[in-house]
Amino acid sequence: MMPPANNPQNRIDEYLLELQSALGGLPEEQIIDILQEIRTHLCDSVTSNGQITDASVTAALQRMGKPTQIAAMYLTSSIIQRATTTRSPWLVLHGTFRWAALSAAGIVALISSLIGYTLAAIFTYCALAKAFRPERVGLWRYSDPDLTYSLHLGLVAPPLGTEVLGWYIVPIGLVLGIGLFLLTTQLALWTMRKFFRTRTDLALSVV
Amino acid sequence: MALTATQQKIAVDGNDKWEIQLRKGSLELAVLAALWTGRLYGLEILRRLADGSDLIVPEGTVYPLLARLKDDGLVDSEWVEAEAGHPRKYYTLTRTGRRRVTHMASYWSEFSAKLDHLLAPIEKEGR
Repeated sequence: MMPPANNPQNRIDEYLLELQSALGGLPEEQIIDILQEIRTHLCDSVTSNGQITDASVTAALQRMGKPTQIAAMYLTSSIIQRATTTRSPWLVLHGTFRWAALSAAGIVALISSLIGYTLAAIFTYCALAKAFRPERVGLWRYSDPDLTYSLHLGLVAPPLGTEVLGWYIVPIGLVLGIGLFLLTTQLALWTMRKFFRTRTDLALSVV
Repeated sequence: MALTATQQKIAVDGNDKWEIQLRKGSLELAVLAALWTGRLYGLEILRRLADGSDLIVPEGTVYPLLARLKDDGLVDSEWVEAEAGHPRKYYTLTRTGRRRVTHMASYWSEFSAKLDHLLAPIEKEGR
């Protein structure tokens, strides 16, 4: 026989299922841990007045708050935590991307991170490409009265002008590329920890 | 001068916002302080908050906060089998957590004492 749809245990299960799907993206282990903890809380909470009624279940679930809000707080903390420990640019961008979905400050952080990583990649590429195509990679000064500089690389024939860096482009490119990469990561993590987390905690934790 | 309905609404909303900021700011301190005397599980922490302070939060939000405090190394957690019912996750302050809450508590006392001083004339006349 099917239990009635509003059976208390069923309603708790439904709530937990909703929470589970909202937590998608977290490590499996952590999801199981969270669900166990919230289940225990709900079971304690609905029985605290001695008996379980429909109304007591409703009240317990309401006190708990929306599953999507709880999940959002977990995800935010977890993304920042993982980005901080791994320092992977992918996770850093993932974090700023989520932040960008919430506020203008996040959009600025996302764009800055993208620019930072792109420039870092270009500088590093210059340094490495010099080894394979020495004649095509370099910093050229045009014999133009305006003294225009051009960082020229890739598969286009070198323009008229004087190459100014020579092989120094390798160490300079590497230092700039790696430096900018580390700086972008640090800066993004710092702003996320400082502003993003406080903001989401603030929006969700107190009514 | 009478305030228009909109002005009144803004005044009240502004107030609410300020109160939210204030409560939020003290929530972390309150949770850490609740753990000072020993290990507790989530629901016990919430009961302490409700009894000992005016901090009413959606209960579910205390868990992500605890998870973050754990990530920051301020609390530790362990699952303990209950005699009856479900296993419970207990939280304790770490050494870093104790240092942090001690610092927060002394800062809070100092700050509120100074603020009280500033507020004294208002309280006198406001009544």
